[in-house]
Amino acid sequence: MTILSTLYNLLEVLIVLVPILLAVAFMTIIERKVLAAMQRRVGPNKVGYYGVLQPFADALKLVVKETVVPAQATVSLFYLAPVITLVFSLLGWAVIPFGAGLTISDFPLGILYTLAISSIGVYGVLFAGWSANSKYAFLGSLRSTAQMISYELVLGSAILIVIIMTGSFNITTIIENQEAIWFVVPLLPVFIVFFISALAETNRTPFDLPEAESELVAGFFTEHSGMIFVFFFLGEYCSIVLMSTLTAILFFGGYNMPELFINDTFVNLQSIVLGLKTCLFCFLFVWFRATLPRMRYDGLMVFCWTGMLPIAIALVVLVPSILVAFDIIPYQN
Amino acid sequence: MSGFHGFRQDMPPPGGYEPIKYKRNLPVRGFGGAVVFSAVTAICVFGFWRVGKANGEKRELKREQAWSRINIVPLLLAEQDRDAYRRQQAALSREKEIMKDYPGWEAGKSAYNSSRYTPNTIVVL
Repeated sequence: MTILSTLYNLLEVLIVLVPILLAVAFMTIIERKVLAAMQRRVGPNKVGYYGVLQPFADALKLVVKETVVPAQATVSLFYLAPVITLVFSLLGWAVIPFGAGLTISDFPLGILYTLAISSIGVYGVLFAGWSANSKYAFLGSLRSTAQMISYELVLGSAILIVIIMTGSFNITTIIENQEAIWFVVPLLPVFIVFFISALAETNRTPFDLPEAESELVAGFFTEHSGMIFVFFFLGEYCSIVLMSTLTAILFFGGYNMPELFINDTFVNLQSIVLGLKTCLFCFLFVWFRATLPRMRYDGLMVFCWTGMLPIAIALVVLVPSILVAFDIIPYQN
Repeated sequence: MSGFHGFRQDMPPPGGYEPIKYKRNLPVRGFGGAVVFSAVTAICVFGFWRVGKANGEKRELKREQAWSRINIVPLLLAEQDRDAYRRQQAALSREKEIMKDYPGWEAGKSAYNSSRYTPNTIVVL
């Protein structure tokens, strides 16, 4: 009985995990195709129809490649770092509801859990840069860590405002609270602040200093190759998809759809709705990369600490003030 | 070499050079700051108005539920009493059945050596 339930739980996790990894794989091809379209190129179009099987070809190539470990590297941490990055960006999916009740864990402190897990992900970057014993990787990891820690404050403040609006840490409750109106409408400035810090958190353009190809070779994973490079790659794109999903959940009503569509079909429309919203934000990530040039490092830090953070803190004060002033607190007895 | 004695230093024009024009001449595009700010404010006001309406409704539902619970308290208490009485009688008959071979046993006799009424603090399951 216990073995059966364990197997059942394992199956449940796999049902979430396998499509997530597939989505991450297709995220890479989306990025390449969209970037190509924006630069008037064709992009990969040889493997499969329109090149849709390109990520699998890439993965296969990387898997059969030799893994080179630098002679002076701390081997255990060198191998552990990519695993940490991938595992902790996958763990974030445990509390994401894909439809009413369709979640691995309906954890009461779900959003706090997500923040904590994404914070631990920084260790992967730190270990990778330090253990490789290469100055490029080390500088890349230092930059990356400082950037992620700084922008986490802004991200946390934006999430805090959503928590104040709903009075709950539970992601399902947050989604249910957006039935009247998506939070992007009352919290439009918060959404902008959130999305900018999400870009920085996932090391994407214009904040992609950690892997600034023109300056630092490849940032903190300069020395990683072959299979362990795949882990880093998957971890990064996984956190992009996770951040897109979180944006859809926190500000765009998650799996809830406008009343236009009525969910009485056999197909679970809610999951498809969440998927579509996530796709929109994944596209936004790529669009930003195609449009914006990279920021200089000091500009990045100044922008965070003197620009974004004061605005975020001001909003943290403003939103509850509005709720109290107009007596529209949701959780008053 | 005649110019060497009739030398004239190349000087800036009287009053100095005019300042270098480094400002880029780009056309003004999009909305001005005031327009964007008021548009965002308007959107937020609309959003908070909807949020306020929804939260008011939520609180009204919560209040209604609390009062409906308060109003059926007598009914709930009566049901509880009826249930406790039924369970007590059943326990009594069980006790009689179990202790029927024991001479001098009074089923349901109070454990206290007093006739003062003590309400049941336990519900027999």
